[in-house]
Amino acid sequence: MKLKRWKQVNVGLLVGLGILLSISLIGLFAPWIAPHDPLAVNLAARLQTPGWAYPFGTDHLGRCILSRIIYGIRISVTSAMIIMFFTMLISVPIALLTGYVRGRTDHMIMRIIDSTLAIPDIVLTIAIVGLLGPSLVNMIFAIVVVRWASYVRFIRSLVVKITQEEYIFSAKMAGNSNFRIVKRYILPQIGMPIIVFSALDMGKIVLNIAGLSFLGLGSQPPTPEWGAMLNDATDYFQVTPHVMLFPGLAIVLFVLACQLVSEKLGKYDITAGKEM
Amino acid sequence: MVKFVLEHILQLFLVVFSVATLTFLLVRFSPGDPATIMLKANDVPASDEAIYAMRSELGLTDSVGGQYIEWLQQVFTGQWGLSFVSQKPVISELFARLPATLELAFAGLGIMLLVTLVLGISTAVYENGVVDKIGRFLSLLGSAIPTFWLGFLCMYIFSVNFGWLPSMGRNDWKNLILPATTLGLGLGTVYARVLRAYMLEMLQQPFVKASRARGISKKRILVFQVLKHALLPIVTMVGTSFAFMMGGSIIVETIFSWPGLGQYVMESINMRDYPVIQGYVVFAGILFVTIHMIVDFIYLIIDPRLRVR
Repeated sequence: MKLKRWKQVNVGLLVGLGILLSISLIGLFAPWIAPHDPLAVNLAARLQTPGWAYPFGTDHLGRCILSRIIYGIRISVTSAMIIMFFTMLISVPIALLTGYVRGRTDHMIMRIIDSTLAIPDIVLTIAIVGLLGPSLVNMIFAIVVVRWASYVRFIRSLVVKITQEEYIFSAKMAGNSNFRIVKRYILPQIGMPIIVFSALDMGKIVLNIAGLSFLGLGSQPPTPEWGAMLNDATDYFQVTPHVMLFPGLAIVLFVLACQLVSEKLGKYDITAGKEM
Repeated sequence: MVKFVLEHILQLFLVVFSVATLTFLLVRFSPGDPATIMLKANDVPASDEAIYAMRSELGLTDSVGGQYIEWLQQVFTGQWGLSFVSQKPVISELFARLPATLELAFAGLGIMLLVTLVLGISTAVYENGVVDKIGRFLSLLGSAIPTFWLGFLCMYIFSVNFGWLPSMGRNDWKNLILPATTLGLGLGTVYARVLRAYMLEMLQQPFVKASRARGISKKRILVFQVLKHALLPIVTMVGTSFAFMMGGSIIVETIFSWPGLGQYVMESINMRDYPVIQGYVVFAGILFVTIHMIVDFIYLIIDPRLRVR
């Protein structure tokens, strides 16, 4: 019984990680894998349906959709990773500070966070990009500005829970410095939940990026990006649906893989905890 | 009760204040000069004198602190500045477009609830059966499909391919179906999962055991007793999803040319109509805090246990 369960957990996890890894590798080696130049305009071959020369067909400017999706990985995944990096950089220290030290600072920061969380992500992100002007950099900035608050809230709740454990009290009694306690006893504990949380969030961020680019607020043409490709498809999909089908499928595949990894990692973590 | 109301009013004040401050800072940092934009919007050649005159008219020659106080005053007295494009107060422009968005949001909410209830209850009744597996798959898919792509798919299938439903504009109820489905479907499948989990958890409660002991079937208990208890999480879902609906409406309105707030804010972004964008965020903030307040209040009505506190 136990064995079967472990197997199940690992198969799903491996599939998810496998998809993510292959997507990343394809993005990394895009110049060798993509059959065409993603920016090469060929008006003679515009809006072609999928065939041998163009596996996913061509768009309204005769650009190869498969190649554009492959190069699009670079934009979407890299931006998502940059966003994740900066979000962590801001939120982990703040969460540790507020969750461990508590007191008045904690109270004030949480109030600010609550009021930012009162407005839905998309509305605030769109407004920030809209005011600063549409561009990839401004979009990344806006998503970080909006996201850090929910990360602080989540990580802080973990820290608060651990801080109340008895071994933290004993560590304090034994004369450990606060810095050492955080480094030695708290950080390792919150690592795994944060990874699970951020794996799921990675998918959401990619969705976010695609949505904003679809609205014309993220990466600007002619950059190949999944959401921007769908924006290009708006005027043409009624006649040639393949122009919107494949970029959308790419997004769905990536997000599903992230969900799978997060879900399985979450289970893995729980079972591991139980067996300890 | 008084404390309840006061707490929420304080929160409303805080949200409006922080949103107003944030948008003020953003406009300060944004690259475009409002005076130039405004002249362009009105087709006036942007000569130096014209720009200077416009700058002083807009109060841009005042100190930053003065402008900030001026802006806060406008926010709290409820005028929110004039739209660069139409020269009308932002608040009346927003209110003019609110009904269309609310209509869409409520219809989306209806679709969401329908999907949640049907899928949630049926997957809970047939736990681990075929229906449950399909429901699980749908909810995974529902949270992974981008709203705009779903909109395209719906539009292609139902209006291009079959020609059943119109894809653009807002003329009669038929126009509402596709946008509302796009908005509500994905979230509905996700919440169905939440409802299922909650109902299955409730099945462990003693009152269920008692009913079972009396010989009432599991299905009957689920539908007639457990569902009543599930009212609380459903209210929470409606409250939180309303926020989602308003956000998602920006994308859906753009796809389906729905003349609501979302489409208006996208137009304003393209025209660099700063006061409208600022006003929209403040407006959204007020709307959401109000909705939260209503949800909290409904809690008190539904669940007497919460009133003791």
